[in-house]
Amino acid sequence: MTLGNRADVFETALGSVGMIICYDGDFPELSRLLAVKGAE
Amino acid sequence: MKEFVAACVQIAVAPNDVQANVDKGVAWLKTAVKEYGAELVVFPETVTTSFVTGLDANGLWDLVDEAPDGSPVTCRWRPSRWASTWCGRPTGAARSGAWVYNSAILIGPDGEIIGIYDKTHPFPLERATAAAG
Repeated sequence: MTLGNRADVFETALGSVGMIICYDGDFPELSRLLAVKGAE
Repeated sequence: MKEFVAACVQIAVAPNDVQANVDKGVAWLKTAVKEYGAELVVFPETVTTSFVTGLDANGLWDLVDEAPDGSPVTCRWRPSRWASTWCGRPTGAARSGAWVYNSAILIGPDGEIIGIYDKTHPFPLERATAAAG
């Protein structure tokens, strides 16, 4: 499996959405990054 | 952000049987919308293939699709087209050759791909599937 190298926030009618997957959750920097980018 | 109903679908997948898993997932997507009014439905990681496939990168490549525009995505499944539902679907996604990604795809109510996220922290087991990019 190849590593991704970016995390973006996407605008939807429901709100601003960021995505992470499973083991990503052990690394809080990723969620912080998405929050800084505007994820709701 | 508006208030909305989110649903999480958890299903027992058939390893490497993409079509069977897609059919099952679509059925539960419809149930989530019909019975709970879900506007966002989220599916498990690697729901199309299962997490442990027993395949090498080339074998996994054969199971997944490229997006028409060449972006990294499996496009076999656009179940939200029939309902006003946003669909977040982690899945195996392939970019090219032996580069296979574990990706989450945000699909809009008309079936359009809103966004893609490639997992940045693959579990050690996953890293054996393909070479690093």
